[in-house]
Amino acid sequence: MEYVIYGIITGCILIIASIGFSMVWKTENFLNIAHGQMLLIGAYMAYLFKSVLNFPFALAMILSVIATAVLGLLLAKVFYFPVRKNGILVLLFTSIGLSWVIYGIVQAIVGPQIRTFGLETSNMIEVFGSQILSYQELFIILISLACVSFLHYILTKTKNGKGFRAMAENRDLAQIRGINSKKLSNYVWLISSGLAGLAGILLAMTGTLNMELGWHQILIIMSVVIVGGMGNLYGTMLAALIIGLSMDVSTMIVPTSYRTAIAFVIVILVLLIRPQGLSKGGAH
Amino acid sequence: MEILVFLSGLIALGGIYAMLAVALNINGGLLGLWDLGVVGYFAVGAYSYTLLTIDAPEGLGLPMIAGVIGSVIITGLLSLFIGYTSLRLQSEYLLITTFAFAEIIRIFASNEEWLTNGNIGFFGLDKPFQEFIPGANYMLFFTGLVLLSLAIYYFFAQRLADSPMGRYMRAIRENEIVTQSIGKKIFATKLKVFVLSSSMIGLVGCFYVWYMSIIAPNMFTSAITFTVWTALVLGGIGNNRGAVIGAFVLILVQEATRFIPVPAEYSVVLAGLRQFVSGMMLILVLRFLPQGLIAEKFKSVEKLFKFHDNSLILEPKGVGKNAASQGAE
Repeated sequence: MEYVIYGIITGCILIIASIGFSMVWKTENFLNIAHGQMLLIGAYMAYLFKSVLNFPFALAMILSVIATAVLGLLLAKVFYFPVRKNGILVLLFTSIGLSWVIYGIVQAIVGPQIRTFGLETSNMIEVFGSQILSYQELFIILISLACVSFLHYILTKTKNGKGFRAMAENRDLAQIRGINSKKLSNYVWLISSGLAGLAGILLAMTGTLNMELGWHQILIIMSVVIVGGMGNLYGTMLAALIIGLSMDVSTMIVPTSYRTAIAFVIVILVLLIRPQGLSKGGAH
Repeated sequence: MEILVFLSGLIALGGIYAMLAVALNINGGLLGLWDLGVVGYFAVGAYSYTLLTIDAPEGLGLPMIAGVIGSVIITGLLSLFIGYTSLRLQSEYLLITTFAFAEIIRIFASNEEWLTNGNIGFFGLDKPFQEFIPGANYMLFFTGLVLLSLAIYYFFAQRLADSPMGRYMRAIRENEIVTQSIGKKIFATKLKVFVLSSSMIGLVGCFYVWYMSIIAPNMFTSAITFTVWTALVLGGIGNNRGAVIGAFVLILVQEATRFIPVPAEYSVVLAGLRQFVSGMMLILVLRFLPQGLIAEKFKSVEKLFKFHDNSLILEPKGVGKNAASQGAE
């Protein structure tokens, strides 16, 4: 049972981490490898506010999500927008280069030691006499539910959200119909980086903060997005839960170190059986 | 003398990466496959060589040459399997599948202790002709060996690129559907080229084992894949000279900073700086020279058949264009 809970939590964090990646893929048409490093930035930013500047944790979280979002937009403006016309391969490699740049800078500042937020371990919630999850874990699940419903609301009810969906289907057509694609893509970068920062913080809450966080997660995020079907947001959410659950439940049968390999096996199987992903989406 | 040994070590490492880049250029550059599994074939080559040549009980204790041939065969067979399962996929999907295979290989190597001795790996491995060349000079000899093999790789890749097969590969890269429509077998060609390129990468694995004289799973992280691709992009995709130059430039920049004398407390900053510089180099080259340091040149059909006046043949398109056309599919 506890493995299922762990799986759900991993899945919830993966949802937050992958939605932004998937949105960028859908609007800009390239795999933003630097998305993983935004998780790293978010996590270390929260560490800076919480443990160095001694802010309360909630405030530190909000501040670092905002800071990561703004930073993500700035990086996109400086690095991605000028090379957009050169095609997706150039964008893809620019994002690999940017990952190295971010990784290098963060490494130079924080050094190699592994850190934690130093949060107190919270009480367990008892249901029917058995302890199933801690308040901290409940918090993660609630946050991801909040993010998902917030995004769902934006995408289906607001003008910008509808514009985003139109732009994702066909950028040129959306532009002809008077959708301001520049403004919208700024929003996409803000939301995507902010969510990445949040996912980084949640991930560091459940484990530790280390330099490899970004590189490890980007692989799993890519798997989730592929399994979910290219750029399909709802498919991505489902895929995140499936991969999260199977990674953690599988540890009952196979050694824990094979946890990530399970995610990749799922990706390969899905691609072989259903190349379009769990749900149809995108123009491929 | 010391500086000579140090320099030759640097050149040997650069040469190893250049061989990787030339091999990758065959399927990544000429054929346009987004193959992020480089480190996987590299690791399989290195591990199969080690396990074939190391003494019992861990290995089979075969002679070195058998190990080299065996590693090429094993890498070839494995890449046949990987290619057969994944080559029907397009661009991003292929990229992630090959990446996933490479990660599975690494995780397998660090967990299956009965086979690979887990995270510890093997150390103190033999190098070729070690007994004939005394200590300090060995590195010079080894560098020569690497450069010789690099030259063989280079000329082989160059011949391949100029052959009908090379033109056919570029045709697939530029427009798969049109190539298929003129009756070419796309999947079979992709598979052939993929296996060839992966076996070449596997063979470089032996050189890496000789160079390091140890083998452990943490030598084969995805950083190697990214480094080789970066080298290829820096030098110019689809062009062997670019691949070699890109690899040497990248390795020189990365390794040169390793030997700047700094106090120990700054070594982390320096390590970060190295990543930063490689990343910046990649970004700047892509921004200002999207075709890399050396753009892909064609020995065009015009030259081969001396069609001087016939202007039916279009000018070759650049790499940036290729990417755009792939994206539009």
